[in-house]
Amino acid sequence: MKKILLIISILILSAVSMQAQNEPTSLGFKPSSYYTFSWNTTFTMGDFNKWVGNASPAGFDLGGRYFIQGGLAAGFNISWQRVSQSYGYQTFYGDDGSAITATNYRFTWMVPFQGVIAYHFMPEKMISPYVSLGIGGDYMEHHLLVQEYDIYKTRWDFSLTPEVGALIKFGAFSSWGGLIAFNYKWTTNKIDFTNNIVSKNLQMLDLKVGLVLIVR
Amino acid sequence: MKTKLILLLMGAGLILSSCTKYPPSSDRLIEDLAIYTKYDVSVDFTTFKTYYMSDSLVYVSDKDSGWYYNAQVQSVTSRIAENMNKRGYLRTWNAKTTDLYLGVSYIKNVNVTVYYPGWYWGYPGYYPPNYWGGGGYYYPYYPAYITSYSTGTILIDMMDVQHPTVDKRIPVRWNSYIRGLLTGDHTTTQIQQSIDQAFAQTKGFPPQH
Repeated sequence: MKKILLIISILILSAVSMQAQNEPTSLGFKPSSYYTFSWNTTFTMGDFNKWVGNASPAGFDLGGRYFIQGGLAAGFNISWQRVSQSYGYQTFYGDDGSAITATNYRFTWMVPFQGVIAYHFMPEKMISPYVSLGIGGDYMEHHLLVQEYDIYKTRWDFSLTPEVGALIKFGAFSSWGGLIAFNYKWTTNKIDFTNNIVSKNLQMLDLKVGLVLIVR
Repeated sequence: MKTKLILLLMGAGLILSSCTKYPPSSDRLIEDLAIYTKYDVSVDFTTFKTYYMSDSLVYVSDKDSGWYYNAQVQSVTSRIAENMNKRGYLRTWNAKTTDLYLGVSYIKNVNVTVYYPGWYWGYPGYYPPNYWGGGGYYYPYYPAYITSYSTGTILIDMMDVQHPTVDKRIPVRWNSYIRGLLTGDHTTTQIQQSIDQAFAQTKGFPPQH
């Protein structure tokens, strides 16, 4: 995880450094809003990591931000995300005298939706770092697949997502740019299955890489 | 600008719609070996003393069915017997006086969409329907079940033949199916380990001696 943070920091610093060396450093227009579309990689944390330990690149995110005043913006994020992992032979017991020994597959499918408040330190620069806080919820489905049995639970939750990132514009007058961001997400969601498979307050880290459409 | 935004949203929609909720590799699970068991929790298994089991097993396939015996079958039945003996049960060769009757069958590749109690009784060669009085068999509990047999499956039913119902039906106190075996991909050791596991994961059985 430290490596990922280090790489992101280096990328952002490199971009800022390049900006310092190459003109122009500012946009040729004042952005009024922007829309993002990013590819997400999720790293589960804490109890959630016991359920699925693998990092998962299966995820996308759509977002919009509208500048309210200066670098302050408000908007939304809607995402799609899946984390999954297969496990070897395990025995699952029911409380009715049943038992199954088999390989199993676990995955969580989630649809987060959040309102976001963001602050851009340099909204009119070519590189625009920001911090944001998302507040909202998720719809999650936790599936335990044992052979053809699909044992699953669906849950809604409340979630908080602080994020750091940067918009990297492709040109002074271009409406397009790149997005790189990293966030931590805390939710009230939980997983509870048999065999003491219990995870509470699911947490995860997300790496987002994508495109941004800037509106004048 | 509006066009670009629409294109961006359309592209995003296309990618999102191509994403499935279920991971593609999850389909593979059904081909893996699995051991299912279920027992009648209202029964004390220490009250049974003897059991009967044929050396042959019932073979069921899409084309035919009947009693079957070879070296691999022998390894299956002898392993079952070994597990029964370890739990204190005595094998008897008198099917009419035994406490328990173990019916062992092998379903090769019959594809059925739903398995429910007694679906295979219609196959010729399976337990003689009038053997204990004509009432047939029943599960006092909902048995372990699966939705299809795509690979070799061993079924074991443990019938309580001395306690028929008033309408002379024989209760099945334990049933097990081990799926994915006898397909040529599994070794005899794996088959025997699977049988051991079927007994080991049944908490209602007496402890091993």
